[in-house]
Amino acid sequence: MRIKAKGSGRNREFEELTLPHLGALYRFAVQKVRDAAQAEDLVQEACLKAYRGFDRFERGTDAKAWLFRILINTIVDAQRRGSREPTALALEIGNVEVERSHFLDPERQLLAESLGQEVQVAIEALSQDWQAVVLLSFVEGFTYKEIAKTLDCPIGTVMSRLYRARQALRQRLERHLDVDPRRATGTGPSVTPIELLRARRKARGKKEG
Amino acid sequence: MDCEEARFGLYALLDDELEVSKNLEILSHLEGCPVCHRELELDMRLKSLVREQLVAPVPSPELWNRIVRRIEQEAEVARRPWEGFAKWWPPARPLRAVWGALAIVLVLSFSLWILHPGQVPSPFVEELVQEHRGSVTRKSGPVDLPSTDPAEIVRHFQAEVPPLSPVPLLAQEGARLVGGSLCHFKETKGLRFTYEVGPGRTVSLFQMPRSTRALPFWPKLGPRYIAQPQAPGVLLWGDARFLYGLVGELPQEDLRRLASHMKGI
Ligand SMILES: [Zn+2]
Repeated sequence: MRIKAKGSGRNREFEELTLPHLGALYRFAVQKVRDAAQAEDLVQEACLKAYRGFDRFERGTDAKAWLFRILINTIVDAQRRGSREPTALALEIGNVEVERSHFLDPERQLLAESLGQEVQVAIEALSQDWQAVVLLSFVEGFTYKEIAKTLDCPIGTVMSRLYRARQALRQRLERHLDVDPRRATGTGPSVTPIELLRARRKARGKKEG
Repeated sequence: MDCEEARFGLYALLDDELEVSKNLEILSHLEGCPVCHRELELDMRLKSLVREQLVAPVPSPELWNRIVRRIEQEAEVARRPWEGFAKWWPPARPLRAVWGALAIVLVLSFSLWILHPGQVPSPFVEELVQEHRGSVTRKSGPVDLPSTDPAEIVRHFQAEVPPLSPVPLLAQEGARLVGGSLCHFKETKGLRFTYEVGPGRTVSLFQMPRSTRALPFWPKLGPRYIAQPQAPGVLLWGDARFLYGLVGELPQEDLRRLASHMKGI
């Protein structure tokens, strides 16, 4: 569907910049609010705000960071507006049904039915700032620079948040991070992390000439 | 490079955020250090675990269409505001109460705006200025009663204007009373005292009872200067019974200084 409102060039441009990030925006919103319908509303609101402020968007700069920044502000506003403690609200993400009030409950964590749910709970337990950094870096593949732009903070802050968030996650998910014992005895898969990194570096070196 | 330094760059290495030389340094340390190596493995595992296990929901295919419709709606209302309004009019039964309440609020806020102590309706100020301009078209001013005695002027008009005491006095600063006139401000009658403040320069002092519907109402008004581009300055103030206005082609400071010599200020 195309925007038919006045100013077709502007609309086309807005579409081309926004549409490719719609899925990522939605994914992020779902992770933050844990409610599919609310996430769609928030993305819609954020896109509307982006459209209104499109004239202020500096062409040629990172549209992804710009859109995520608007979305994050929209989410923060909505959370401020709504009650801070959405109690026992049944939430449905995919097939996983969780009650928000139990997210941080240690017993609930122990009873987490699936590994996915456990990861979800661990992410939820992070502070808002750490959560955003982890989602943008791990899930959306943002570079540190892009995260810094999106969250409007220095790269050093991004790195330290990411560092601490990783430590916290590692503690919570420790038992799932055990390195495959076969690999430790030298009979495991042949590709070690170092080899992987070396290969990546090599490929990059080739690209850079 | 020691372990501490290597650990520091580990995450950045994993996230592919290090420059090549640093990258190589850490890699060569890792090859010789099983402790740091294990650290790296744990981090790699963590990153892929989060990626794999987080449910990656996709928006409904309708989401973008909904966004487009909202944008179009907004653009439409901005272009033709009455159409956005027409959608709500005539109102459905449940909306009627809302519109009624809205209308009351509008009327109330408008009257409050009119009656707001700080607000002086500009038509009133314009009338003062017109009256003043009429008085300076002739050298001595088109005064109804040429006189240098304020009490005489008040006595002369007392049949038409309720007693305007205390009579304003403006004797200082070289201001000389030349006469008085009757003024009409809608349904209210007031007096204008015309003073000469220099060769060919006059200042009008207006005085009128404040108990009226037509005039701006304000409680205890200190002198209020109304700046007007290309027009004489207007200084307004009031006391319990009267409103006063001083109008003249004088700088604000001079008008204020003149007014400061008067009673009722
Ligand atoms: Zn080491």
